[in-house]
Amino acid sequence: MDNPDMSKRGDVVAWVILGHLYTHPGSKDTVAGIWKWWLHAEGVDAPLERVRLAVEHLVEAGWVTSSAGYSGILIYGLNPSRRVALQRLFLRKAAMD
Amino acid sequence: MHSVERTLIGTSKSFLRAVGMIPLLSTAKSTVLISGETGTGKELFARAIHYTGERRGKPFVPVNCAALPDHLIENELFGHSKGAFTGALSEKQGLFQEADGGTLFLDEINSLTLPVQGKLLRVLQDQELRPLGATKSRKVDVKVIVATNTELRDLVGSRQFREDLFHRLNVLSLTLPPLRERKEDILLLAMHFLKAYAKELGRPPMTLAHASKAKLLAYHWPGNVRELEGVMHRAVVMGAAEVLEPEDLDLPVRELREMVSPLASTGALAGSPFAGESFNQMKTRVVEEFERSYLCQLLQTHNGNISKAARAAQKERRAFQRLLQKHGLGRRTFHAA
Repeated sequence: MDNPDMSKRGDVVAWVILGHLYTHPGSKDTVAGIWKWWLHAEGVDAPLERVRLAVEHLVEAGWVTSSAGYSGILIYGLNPSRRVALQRLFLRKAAMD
Repeated sequence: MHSVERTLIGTSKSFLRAVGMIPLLSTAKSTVLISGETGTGKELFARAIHYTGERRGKPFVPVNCAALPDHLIENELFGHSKGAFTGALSEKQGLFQEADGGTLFLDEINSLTLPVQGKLLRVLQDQELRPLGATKSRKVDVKVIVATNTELRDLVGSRQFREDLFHRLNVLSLTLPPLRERKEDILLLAMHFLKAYAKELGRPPMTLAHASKAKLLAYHWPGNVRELEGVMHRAVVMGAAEVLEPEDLDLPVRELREMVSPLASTGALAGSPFAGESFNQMKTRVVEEFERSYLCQLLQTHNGNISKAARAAQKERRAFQRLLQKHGLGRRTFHAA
């Protein structure tokens, strides 16, 4: 379960989002906020739709949770139960790099 | 560190003044009030304040107060405990708790009812809240940024908004300029959206014909940057050629007709203009606004080429340059467009 299964999809965007959550595990925002402030402002230039797909994939894979209010705005953040697994994943990735 | 320049696009004086406020607003602990017409980028600035401050690694939770039904707002903002009401089978966190440690952005704050305004005031004063049905209060650490597209002071006057809450919110305020007051930015933003949507939709790079630039500059933009983005998005989807012609830009004809008047184009006579200004004061202001607007449009049309712009204005180059200096304008500002 610790493998996000993204290498074969080549999903760089999902990796960058996970990287952001690794360094800022308390971060939460909407897809539009993630697109502009976790990715674009850091120099990752991906279309909004691709970011949306990457976030949805991370939710499906259990890394990210979403919360929705009555106003219909979805907020995404790290699944707290995967925090340790995320640290392990990045430490392993760093060792391999 | 986040690059605000990548996200906040514009070079006009009024826009840069607003951008220049961000470091102060992001470090201050007080509530921030952002005012501006619809589509001026209030949520964008709220995020800029959050992501350039020390709370950037924490949640940013946006809420549109106008989209929440009255009877649910309290539950949504403050949460409820188990058994608080029929159907409350489990405890639910409110958005204040969701944003704990970070920023809660309350858009259209003017639409909150008076009772909810009272509860919000308590939370802001005490930094603690009590969910519906709970017997104990809980501490929360949230920076609150609120936004409004109507003048809150007027709502206070008509007793639709609590005066005490207004003063609590109005500690640090930021007013965003409408697009018609930052005409220098119209082509810069248009090109930015054109490039972004062409890339997203897999179209070859697109550009604007001179007449299209003039059409964009002549429009009043009541929907501000959001409207401009929509127009450029539609133009990329519908435009058949790589150079967009005026007919590719879908703008309301009535609004364009209104722009024929030079006074209307400067916005000088908007609102109730004659109160408190003498003829000479208003004349000076209108002439200054006309000069600035004229120079900006001309330089944008000529991509910042001062010689060409001076020729088009039929002014001697040195006199033209003195005019630019008077308004703090330079070729670099317009070269990118």
